[in-house]
Amino acid sequence: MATSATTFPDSQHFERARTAESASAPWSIYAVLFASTSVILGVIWDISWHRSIGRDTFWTPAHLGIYLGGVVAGLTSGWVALRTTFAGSDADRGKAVRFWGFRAPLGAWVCIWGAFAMVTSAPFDDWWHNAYGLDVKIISPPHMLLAAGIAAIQYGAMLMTLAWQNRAIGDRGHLGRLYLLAAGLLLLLVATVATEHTQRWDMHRSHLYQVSAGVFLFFIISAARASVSRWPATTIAAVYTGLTLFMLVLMPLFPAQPLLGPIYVQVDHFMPTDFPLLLIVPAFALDLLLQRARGRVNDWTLALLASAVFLVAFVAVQWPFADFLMTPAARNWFFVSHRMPYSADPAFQARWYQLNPSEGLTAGWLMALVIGFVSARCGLWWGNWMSRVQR
Amino acid sequence: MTRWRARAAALLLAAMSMAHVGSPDTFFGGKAGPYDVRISVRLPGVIPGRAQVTVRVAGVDKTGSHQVTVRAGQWNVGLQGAPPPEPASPVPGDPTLYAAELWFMTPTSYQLAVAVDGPAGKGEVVIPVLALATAERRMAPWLGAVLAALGVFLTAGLLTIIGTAVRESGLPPGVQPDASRRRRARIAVAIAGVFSVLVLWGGSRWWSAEASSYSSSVLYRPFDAHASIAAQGDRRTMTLSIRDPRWTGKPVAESRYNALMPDHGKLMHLFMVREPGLDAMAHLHPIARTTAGLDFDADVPPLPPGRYRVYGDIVHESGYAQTLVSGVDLSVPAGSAAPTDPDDSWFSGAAQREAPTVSFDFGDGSRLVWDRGQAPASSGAERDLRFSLQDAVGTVLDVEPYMGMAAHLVVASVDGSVFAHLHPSGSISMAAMQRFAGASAADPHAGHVMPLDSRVTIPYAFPKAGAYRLFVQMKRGGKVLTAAFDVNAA
Repeated sequence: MATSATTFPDSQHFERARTAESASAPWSIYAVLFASTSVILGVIWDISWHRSIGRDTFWTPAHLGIYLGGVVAGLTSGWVALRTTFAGSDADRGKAVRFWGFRAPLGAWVCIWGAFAMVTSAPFDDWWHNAYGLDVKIISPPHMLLAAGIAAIQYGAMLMTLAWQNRAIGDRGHLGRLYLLAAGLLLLLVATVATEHTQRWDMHRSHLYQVSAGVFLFFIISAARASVSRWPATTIAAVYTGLTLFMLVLMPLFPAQPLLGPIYVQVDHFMPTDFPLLLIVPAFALDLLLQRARGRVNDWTLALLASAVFLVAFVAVQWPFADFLMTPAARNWFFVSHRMPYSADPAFQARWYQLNPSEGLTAGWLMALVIGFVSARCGLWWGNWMSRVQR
Repeated sequence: MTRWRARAAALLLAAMSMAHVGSPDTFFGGKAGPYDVRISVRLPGVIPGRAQVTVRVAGVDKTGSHQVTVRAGQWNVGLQGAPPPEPASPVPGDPTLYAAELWFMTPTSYQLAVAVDGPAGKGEVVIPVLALATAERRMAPWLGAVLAALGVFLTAGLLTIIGTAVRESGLPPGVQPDASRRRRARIAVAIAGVFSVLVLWGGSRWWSAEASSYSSSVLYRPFDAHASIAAQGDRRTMTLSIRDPRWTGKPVAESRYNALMPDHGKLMHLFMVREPGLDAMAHLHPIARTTAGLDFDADVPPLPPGRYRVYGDIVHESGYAQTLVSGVDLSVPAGSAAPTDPDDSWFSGAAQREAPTVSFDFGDGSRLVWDRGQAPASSGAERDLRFSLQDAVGTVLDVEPYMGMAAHLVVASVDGSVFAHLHPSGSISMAAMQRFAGASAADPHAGHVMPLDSRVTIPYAFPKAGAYRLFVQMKRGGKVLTAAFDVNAA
């Protein structure tokens, strides 16, 4: 690092500031973490809304949760940028990056970008509804812009906690946990976006594991690489699992009635989310691998090992669990495999408890291993960069 | 060459035409139990979307004295799979009028249940409604400019963030980036710039694909049909051939394009309207050449030669009705061949210009009177079109049912962009209404047997401003009488 940087004459000043910087986080970190939580819980609520009620307006609580997150992250980061630029001390400005003459932490700029993307998506989405009809598809260009904004807010929150963690000296446990919380919230968004490819019916098909290796492994291992915790992957997966279970148990407590037709299933309470993927198991295995491989193998070998470990551990638990989810024992308030959205037509209902057949597994596993290797290697590279982020 | 031109003209006409040719909204007049109701369903243009439903309950003089609810169920699911009834709110200032908003999610046929609860008890009527997407909307230039500016801002912001991330984010506080970091940042921005262009290009392709999918699968487009005329001696047979991938001759029961069902006892009601003056019209009932229902033949009645617009009304068992559009040249007058169907009728001659009260004289002592009223027509405004058959001194005459109805009304705009076939019950398909009434209907022909009083009231709203011709048909003494009126909607 020293070879590629010019040191300020008074850089000792910053070193002192860094040493003195407490392991506690400023309010802005908590604010963006709140924003990140608000948007993702809003997204999960909104999906449940569309599976339970169908009809919505701009003013549903779920939408307000999403936009509250955008507003809080945008305003907080905007305030941080203005304050750092115009009223910050040299130390404050030294901990910031430049953007069109302004200064703020990198994560704040990413949050601000996310807020603007969300704002831009609103008139775009409104026009889209007028031109092509109201929301029938979740995956549409304006919704993807909104999703990019949401992801940016969550990633910005992660970067803000990360820079604080990386700069802090001394006990970094608390900051490390905040960072892992931010990473777990982002993993929850990623898992939500990937839902279409990780359905219960596909748990005996290699496609699900290819997608998981391609997406989840990247996020988990990159976040773990930049963490100061001993169990980063497990913690991130625990955040995903815990919040999913929380929403799963919480939402069905509230009444809901479908207001769009055709209604094939009478629903009287909010639909829960699907039971979470058992990512916590391969995440735990990854932590064990990372602990044992530290200093012993290079990142290329580690990526290969990580891919194999992730897949073996994930398949070992998710495959039999899929069988379980199809049994009557899983048709209860906790595993919720019996809860159908109002729009599940008779043909869909007929195969509700049937796994899709697995075909071409050998080639599928090999492909998953390759995808996992690429994903893990990219994740390690990304994680290495994140572990150096100080601003 | 002429044939190609004719085909091109037909294609253009088909492309110009929209649902039931420029008139996609539903109008109904009839009974909901003891109540006389007028129902209109104004579509939002795109589906899924929110339609505006109004219900006028005759005779209500006190706001809030009646409760009106509306409920729409998709044809293949029925009302048991419909959302709960929506209360229609009284419209301030008009105690007879109630309004509600209904969501239609699929571009298909629906059954709409309107229930009225008042001092006379409860009444309900179920009518067919077509939820059709007819709008192709372009983005307003100002909105396009705003979104483009925001897009540039976001892209520039993203590239700046990537540049600053590579250049400065990894540096300890207070340390300035050196030349190497600056160079790496420039490279990263260049790579991200290429990536951004690819993402924007992909997004644009995606958008185009979505727009194209909307046009081909959601936007109302009747089956492609082609009209042709074959001569055998002095007999002219017109054939309307359906050639469309959605209609293969083997209809699928679950599809909205399932088997055809007869409406007023006929599989197809075919109309020929002479261009450009709309001075000749035929209402024919062609016969399907095979059970596949691909070609429909009808003998052409003695009409003057010229270019004719051809409209074929068909109804599927799903209740989905469509108007096939084509055009044909009648080069020489057709001879005196016997009509294909005893209910075939035709007309040629001049129309009466609109006036508060105007009558069309048939020359046999009877005349068809249009009581337009003082207010001229204005586009988009629902109004009752009142007609009656009278003798020379103004006595209202009785009529016989013409295919079950006291009157048929054809509305054709001069520019060819609007065509609608209406009855006193409005714009709905009676066959679809009977089908939705199903076993619950005490009389399978309920609503079909109308009183034979010739005073009819037809609810309708001219969909756009312009010149229209109305052809009104009634039957008396075994003879179909056709009157023509010109009207201009402001």
